[in-house]
Amino acid sequence: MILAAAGSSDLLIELGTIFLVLALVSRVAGRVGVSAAPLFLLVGLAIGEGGVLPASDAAAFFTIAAPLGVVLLLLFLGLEYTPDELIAGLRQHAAAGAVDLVANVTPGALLALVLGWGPLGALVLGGVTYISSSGIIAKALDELGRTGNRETPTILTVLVFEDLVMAAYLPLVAGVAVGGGAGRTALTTLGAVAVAITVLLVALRSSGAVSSFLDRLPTEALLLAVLGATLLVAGGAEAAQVSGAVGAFLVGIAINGRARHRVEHLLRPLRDVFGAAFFVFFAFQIDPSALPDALPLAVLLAVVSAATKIGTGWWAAGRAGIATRGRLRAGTMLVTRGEFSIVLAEIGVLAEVDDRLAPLAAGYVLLLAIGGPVLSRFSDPIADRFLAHR
Amino acid sequence: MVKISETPLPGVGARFDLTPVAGRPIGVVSRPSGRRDLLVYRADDPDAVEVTVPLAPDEAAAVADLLGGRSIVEEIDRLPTLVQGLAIDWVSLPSGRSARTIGDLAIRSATGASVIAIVRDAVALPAPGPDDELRGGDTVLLVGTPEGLEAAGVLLTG
Repeated sequence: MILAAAGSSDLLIELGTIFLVLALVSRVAGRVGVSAAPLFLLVGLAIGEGGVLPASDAAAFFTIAAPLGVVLLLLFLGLEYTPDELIAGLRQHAAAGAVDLVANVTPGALLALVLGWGPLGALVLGGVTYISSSGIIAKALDELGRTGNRETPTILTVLVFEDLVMAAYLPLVAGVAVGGGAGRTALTTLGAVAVAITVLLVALRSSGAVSSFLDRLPTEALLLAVLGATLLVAGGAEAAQVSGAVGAFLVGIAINGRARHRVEHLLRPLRDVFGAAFFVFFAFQIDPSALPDALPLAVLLAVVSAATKIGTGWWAAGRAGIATRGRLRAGTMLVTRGEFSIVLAEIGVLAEVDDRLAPLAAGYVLLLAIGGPVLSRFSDPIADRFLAHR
Repeated sequence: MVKISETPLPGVGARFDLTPVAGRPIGVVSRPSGRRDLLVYRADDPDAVEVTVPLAPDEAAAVADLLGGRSIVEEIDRLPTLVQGLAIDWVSLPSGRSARTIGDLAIRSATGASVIAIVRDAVALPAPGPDDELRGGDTVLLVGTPEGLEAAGVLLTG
């Protein structure tokens, strides 16, 4: 008992210090006007093995907290949308979604193949370059006063489509990660995607009943019920090799109306704590000495995939009848990558794709999570200077 | 008729635009939380917003009143004088009541009165359908004959 008590004091001191550092980083990020989440990666690097301040006792906490962080991040992603918005997104914006998918999976997938990381590596790195950060972008749109802009629906529908693709992409990656011969892989993957689609349909259908049931629960019961149900569904999905993240996403989709706002309000603090823990944990596993080697590749990948995203947004906004400036605003806004690129990279890290994957993904996300919104802020002057008005 | 175009904003809400005959295009972003953003578009770039004014739900309601929302209430008050024998009444539901849909309660078939609006948490739901719920604490706006309204009042509060 005495030993355990001594251990827990070390743990608490380390955790307390880490969270205070995270608070400081978050405050500074807010002041400078960048998203804090990618900067948490830097904190993880610093306290990891080989970092400037290795934390040994806190490692156990972050190992447990990280998967909870992923589950809560995906739950909140699902909460963002109503079933109607998702269905409309699929029906009306399939063309823009398909262009986005092909143009932006390609850079990551190609690089992975060149590096010899095999099909799983290609899927993972392709996913990393594909998925824009809906969280950071929604915040940037608000802060730049662009929510009402005419190119904004184009940006948002591309994001909705990407988030829906994630629901099929994550089980696909999880299925390939299980491996065991081409035939078996195909079978598990197909099974996983089928399960994900079935659960999605159930979530869409049962949304009304689930939401009105939840809305009648008092605060504490609601908090615990949603947390419990999300973890249970995520765990079940994980056991069925569908990826727990997708399970949580689907739970989020099923919750709507007034219940949705209460859940968002209640679970946001949990999401912030465990989400931060996830980013810290991801970087925690990286050996900082591997970063300099990964940096040139991260820069290359960032430049190429920024260009493909700008092209996607430019094209999609043009189709919607937006003029030059707006087309560039849409393109540059989509450049931002963030939390879900890290979620995908983590699957690859767990499946031991390659030692270079984690530092590459971390460097890449740091560059574009911070660079994307900055680039978009200066999009109008860039358009005026380099592109003729049409 | 003024032409207002509605554009869904997935994950945000919806945007409503209109271009006044004289003046710059304006718009409103409506969010499920009740927040409204009042927008004024740029003159040199009609795709971009120049000014965004975020309004809390009560502020948005106040602005709507100033812009003529009150005229709806005035119209309703004048209706009974326009249609002979028509009556309008507000009924507040006891707060402990469990939720039931309008269709379930069969208000119209039993009393001839129709629910034309539900006010819940200071938000009005106009023209509800048979699938909409009446919950404890709601205020319900009914139209019908004076006798029908009395019967509906008993049905809803009894």
